[in-house]
Amino acid sequence: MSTVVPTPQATTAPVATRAAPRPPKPWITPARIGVYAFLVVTAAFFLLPLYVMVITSLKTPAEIRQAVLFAWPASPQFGNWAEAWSSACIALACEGIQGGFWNSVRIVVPATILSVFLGALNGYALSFWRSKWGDWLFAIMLLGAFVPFQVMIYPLVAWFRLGGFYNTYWAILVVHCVFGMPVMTLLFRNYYVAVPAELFKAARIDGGGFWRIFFQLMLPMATPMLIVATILQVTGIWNDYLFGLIFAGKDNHPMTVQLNNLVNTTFGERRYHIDMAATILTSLVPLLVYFFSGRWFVRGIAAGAVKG
Amino acid sequence: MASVRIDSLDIVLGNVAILKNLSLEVAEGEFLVLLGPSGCGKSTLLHTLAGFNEASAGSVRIGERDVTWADPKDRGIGMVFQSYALYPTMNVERNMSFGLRVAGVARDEIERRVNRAAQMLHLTELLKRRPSQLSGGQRQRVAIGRALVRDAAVFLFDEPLSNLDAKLRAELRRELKQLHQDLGATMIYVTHDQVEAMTLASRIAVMQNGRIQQIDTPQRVYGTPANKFVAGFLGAPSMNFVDGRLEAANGGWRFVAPTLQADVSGYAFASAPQNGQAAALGVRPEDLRLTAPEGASGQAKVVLVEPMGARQIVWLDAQGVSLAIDTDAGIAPELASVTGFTLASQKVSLFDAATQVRL
Repeated sequence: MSTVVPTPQATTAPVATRAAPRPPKPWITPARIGVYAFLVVTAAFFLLPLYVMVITSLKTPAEIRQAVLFAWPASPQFGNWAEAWSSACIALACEGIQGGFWNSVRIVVPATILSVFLGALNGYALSFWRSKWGDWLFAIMLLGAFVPFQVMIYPLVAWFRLGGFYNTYWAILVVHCVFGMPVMTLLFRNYYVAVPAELFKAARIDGGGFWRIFFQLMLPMATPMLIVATILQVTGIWNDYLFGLIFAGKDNHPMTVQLNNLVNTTFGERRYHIDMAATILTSLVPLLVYFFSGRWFVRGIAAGAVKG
Repeated sequence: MASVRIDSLDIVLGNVAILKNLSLEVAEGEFLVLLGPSGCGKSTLLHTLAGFNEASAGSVRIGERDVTWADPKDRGIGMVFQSYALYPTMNVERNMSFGLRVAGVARDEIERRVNRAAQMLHLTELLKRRPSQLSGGQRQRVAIGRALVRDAAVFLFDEPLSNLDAKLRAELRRELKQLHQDLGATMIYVTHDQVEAMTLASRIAVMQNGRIQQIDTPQRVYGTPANKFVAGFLGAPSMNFVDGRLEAANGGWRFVAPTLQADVSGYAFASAPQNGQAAALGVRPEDLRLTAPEGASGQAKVVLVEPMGARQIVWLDAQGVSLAIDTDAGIAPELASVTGFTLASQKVSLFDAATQVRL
């Protein structure tokens, strides 16, 4: 533009003197084709199993026996889903996996709320109310995040039995809270460490105490982290199988355990369509969480990835 | 309003002694500025006054009360931080009223105080906004308002203008001075910006290495610096120093250096100097004048000219000693030409070469 001669024409009609627009880049380039090919293959890698699951769950046993894996069912049998939900047989009880669903809800909701709350509280206390042994405590807690769960299962079983609440609802709640705490604490501590200390000092001058600063200032501030932590815990606890199997007791088995039992219950012929329907019902909650919180979900995964 | 009295205070943070045996008195209604380079302990001192650092020894009194061990909220202070430190989830009104709500002040009293502060700081239209919807200058005004509504006895400012651009800084600086005049409150203000210090302060305390080097009115700190550090820290460009000797002559004294000679008979020596004593002469750029080489105090080569609008800074090289001269903008001397300069000998400072203390 600086080379334009300031003739009267140029000043009255600036549009005419504007440099020619940059020629559009060709849309199809080898690099772009490569990128899209990779993306399509990757997406197919994850979507095909889901597709197979969904259509298999809608097939009749006869269609399954034809063994055409990707074929669309002649008439989708939504009755399979209803059966898996309410009347499929697990061992001798033919009530479907609905009981497992409600058990899972009863475990996930309080365990998520508790573990997220404790994580936020720990993170807040460790970042702002620095005590002499705070860093040590945090280091020990982090260590807890890296010790394989399997190592701790037997001692935990022994303790719970000693305390008299092994195989109860409370046992599974405590287990989820304890094992969720290291990562939750790490998440919130890292969030609060980035908050300027001056903010905390200002609140101290204004007379805020430990709980008031937490509830009125720091907790509302951490809303993005609360969402991420909730997503992480809901999906994590919902997908848990091992703890539910070991600690919850027969009456409180979560949906994942029920699903496994259902699949392993056979009377002669394997009923793949019902197995698939039950599997879809079980994975529906994490799937929905994923669909409705995509942005936050990715952030949660990224936050979890940083822990290593 | 209250006075502040600090008595032989020691602050040790993680085995490092930040403040050593520091005593300081701030009168009621005074505007004291703590000035110094980063790491000199000025912020530590302010945060100790606010109650965020534990004193290893000594005491802090605000008004009649010993607050050495008091909680920040019980000290009757209001504080303004460099990063504003506004509560991000609350709007302006709730930011300002947070402390009052915590203290359980009656609702109409809260409203009265918030409105008064908002009016003083031109924030009335912004009361419902979130901090993220405000500009830097507005945010800092809210932070000041938050301190105001507390009706604090002492206001503490921790480099409150450092995050603002130059124009806003000048504007808010003026507002702060006006505010101090209107309220007459005791204010303690930390900065490393000497312009803020000079314009705002009733007294300036210049600090270095955890010690107060000089505490006096801005004019006296600038005009008669207590040592070479204070002399060099205040003023931009900073004071010119020339090393030389003091020689007795005709009942008076002459300062003799390879680069310049000056009659300093009129200098108010603290104690009589010795003949031939090594000394450093300090002279501010505005107390030097360009003249013809003949009969001047010294001669030097023009190295650089910095025009600054109404004024200009001429940099000279006097046999290896760099000198800055602040003159009216006019005809700039030719580069690399040799010029003479004279100094206003009644305005020079002399420092002991060894101890660097003012003679």
